[in-house]
Amino acid sequence: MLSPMVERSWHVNGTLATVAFAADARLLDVLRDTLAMTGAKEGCGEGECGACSVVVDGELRVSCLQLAAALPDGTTITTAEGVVHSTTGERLRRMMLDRGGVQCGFCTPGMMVAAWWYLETKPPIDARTALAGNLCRCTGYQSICEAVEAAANAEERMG
Amino acid sequence: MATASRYSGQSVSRVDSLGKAGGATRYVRDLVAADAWVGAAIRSPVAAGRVRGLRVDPAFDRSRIVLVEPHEIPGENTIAFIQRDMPCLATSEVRYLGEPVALVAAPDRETLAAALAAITADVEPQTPFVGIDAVAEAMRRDPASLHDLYALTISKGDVTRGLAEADAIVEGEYLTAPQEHAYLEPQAMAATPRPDGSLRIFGSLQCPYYVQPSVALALGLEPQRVIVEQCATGGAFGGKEDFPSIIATYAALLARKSGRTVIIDFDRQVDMAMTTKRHASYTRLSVGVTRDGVITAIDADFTIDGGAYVTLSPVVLSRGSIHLAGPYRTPHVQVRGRAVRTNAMPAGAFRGFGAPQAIFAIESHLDRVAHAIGMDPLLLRRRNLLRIGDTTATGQTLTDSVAIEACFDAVVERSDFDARRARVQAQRRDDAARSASGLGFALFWHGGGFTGSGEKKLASRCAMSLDRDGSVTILAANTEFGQGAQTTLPQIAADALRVPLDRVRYPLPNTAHVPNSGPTVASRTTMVVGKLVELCAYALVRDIEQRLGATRHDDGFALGDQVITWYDAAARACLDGPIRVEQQYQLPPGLHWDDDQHRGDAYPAYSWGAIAAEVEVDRATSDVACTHVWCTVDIGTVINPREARGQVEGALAQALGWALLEQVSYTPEGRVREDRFQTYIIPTTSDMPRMDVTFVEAPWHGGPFGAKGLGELPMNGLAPALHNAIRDAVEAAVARLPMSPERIDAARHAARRSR
Ligand code: FES
Ligand code: FES
Repeated sequence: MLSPMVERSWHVNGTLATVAFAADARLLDVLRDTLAMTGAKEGCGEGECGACSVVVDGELRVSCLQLAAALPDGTTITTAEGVVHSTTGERLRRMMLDRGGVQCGFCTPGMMVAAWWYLETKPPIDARTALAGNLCRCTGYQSICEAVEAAANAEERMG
Repeated sequence: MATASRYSGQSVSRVDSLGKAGGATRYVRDLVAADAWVGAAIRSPVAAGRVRGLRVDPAFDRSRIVLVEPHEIPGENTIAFIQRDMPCLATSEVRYLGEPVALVAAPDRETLAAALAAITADVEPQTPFVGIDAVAEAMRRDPASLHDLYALTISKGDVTRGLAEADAIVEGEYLTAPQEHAYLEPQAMAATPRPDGSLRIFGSLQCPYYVQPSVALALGLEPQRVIVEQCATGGAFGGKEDFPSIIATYAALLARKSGRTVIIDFDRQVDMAMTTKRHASYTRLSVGVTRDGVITAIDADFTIDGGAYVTLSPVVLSRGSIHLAGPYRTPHVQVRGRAVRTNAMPAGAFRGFGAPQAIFAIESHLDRVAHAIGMDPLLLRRRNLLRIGDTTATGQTLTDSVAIEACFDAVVERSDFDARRARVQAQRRDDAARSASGLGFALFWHGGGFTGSGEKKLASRCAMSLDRDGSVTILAANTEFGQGAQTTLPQIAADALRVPLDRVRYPLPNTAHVPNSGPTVASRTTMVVGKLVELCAYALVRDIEQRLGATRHDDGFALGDQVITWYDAAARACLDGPIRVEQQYQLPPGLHWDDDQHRGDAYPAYSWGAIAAEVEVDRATSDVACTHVWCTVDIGTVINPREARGQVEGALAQALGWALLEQVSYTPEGRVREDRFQTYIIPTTSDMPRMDVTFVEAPWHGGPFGAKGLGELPMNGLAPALHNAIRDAVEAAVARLPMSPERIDAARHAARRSR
């Protein structure tokens, strides 16, 4: 019954990590259980809530639907723990605190990842649209969207 | 004691947000050790029936798991809430689909899944009675056929006379669906057995002192032998008020038998299918009104679906019934409240606690009443507003802190209501437009703290300790689950002590260290526990003064002719170790409540609010987009404006979901249909309007620095405002939540036919 183990070497939050995990494991479980990075949360396990969001090779993904074994050696993964160590992430966190974008905090790591991806990749959409895949039951989103917009504006001003 | 506020009234930063934003904060799933076992319940496959026993697949290897059956419960087979009618594990009768009949724990999830497939409940099925439609139908045809979990009547004046004095009597029916809390972190509780036979319980919860007696009762332990610790909690909204007691008890039984830490952590599907919901409601109203808009009588049947067991339904019913007549001084009121039994999972606490259902009915209905007499709905409301000196439906005379009119005025002004209404009406005349706009308005209120004699019976206690280094710790059982209590209570303490905010700590509670300051419910944390914190601070200062023979003043303590700093004073006062003071809550004097008659001073203070909502209803699809909301509330002194705004905006999102999107329904067999985020739709960024949230402050003398309750209030007004806005847009009323496009469509067709 047990699935065979596989091994991968990824760049996780800027550090090369070699991990061994079951071939059918989800990326979410590998991050949380194998790498002990519990920033990504399981809010639904079905790709609906975004609490498990991570960035994989520049793309925003829900790690609960990502088969870990499908990510080859050399894949770059950024989680909430990594986001806050970047300049953009640090600014974003400041704005989240300033606008009151954090309440219970369970959606927050996923929000931070999605917002960071938005600020870094600058897709031609507004912050509200960029965050439409992340559920938050506490804030009503206004403070979060304001924080992301403020971070985007601060970035622009700094050129 | 007058104190200059340095922190109260300031948007100081939350103490918990740095860790949360960086993904460092650990919730119970992040904390539990890798070798912990996982537990689950073996559940009834039917909603009503007689338990025959367990069916066990003989091929299944039972040596790898632990099974707990009802006869192994060492204490009482009961989950203790208001009444002791709910078994911990069902032994004879099953009353809802999924009711637990046994428990199982396994070393890993695969084994647990195999156990749940191999061991099943054998139940002889009976015909279940489920759903608010069945309840409503019974209320219309044969109300005596319903089984009351609890019933009450609220009476003021003589409602028959009041209706006779009216020029018009307007009748109506309003229904609401159950609402799922949808906290982002699903329920999870863990238990660790300790060598001395005591237990450590930890997890995602609101009320440690609800969990403790529940576990103790089932395990036959002294309550002090059950140590309950709150972990960071990912949202609750009432959903973690009563329910964690149940799964904590299960985890404890499994931990005791297996000798290991056991965690029971639901996935989203189990959480949605098997945890409490907001009570569905059916409200029937007759409102009498004179030609010039004086409401003479409100006559109401307020019926809520309590589900299978009593749990918290009596208090939900009571709060809902008390709030039903709205913030109006109607002379004659009768509300007949019933919480009826059905074969659904017991309904539970959810932000607002019965008040949103009642206020949805009356505030939606008042627009119909206004229409019936050809009056502006805002004017009708203004004519009947409660003011100081007026009495509520329970006969409470308001003496203090009533700012409903100021809220009213603020919303009218900020939304530019009259001009906007004219614009909206003009827009509607444009038949070529894709959508029809509408504007709706509602007023609402919420009593802070427990109803009636509740706070007196609770006799909450809070403590505060001082260390040699001058740091102060608040010792209270109240929990942080997003609302900001860990920040606002220290703000109150720092101001009352006159110390820097960073000197005050307020850790998550552990029953081994903190007294019972009562549950974190009923909008009571700032108002009631905050007051206790303030009193503790004064007591601590007095204690230091006495020990040192000194007097507190702004820069420190005057000791003879010298002045020493707070830190010097703390070091001297704590020579023999930390100092601890404790205080017990006392309601302000002069409040009287009659539990049997539901009469008197229902709450020590009320918070008030007004709201306007603008919508666009698609003419072809009946899809509703809410574009703007203006909401002004009076919560007395605002301790932390940023966090207060967050509470209001978050509640508005939940209210919008409840009003427009969120639907829990049951199959005829009693199964929850919407048990995933794919089918149970909560608002996303794209559903939310622009929200304009403001405060007017009518300080209440009994609250800390004048603060009143906040958390639930803003859940109460948006649903009826949206109802009225949709009615305005499509000239048809949908008296039922959620107001889905299908229902709006049906209402439009019905209205067209009748025109
Ligand atoms: S847990 Fe992955 S989207 Fe919800
Ligand atoms: S802060 Fe609680 S879910 Fe977003």
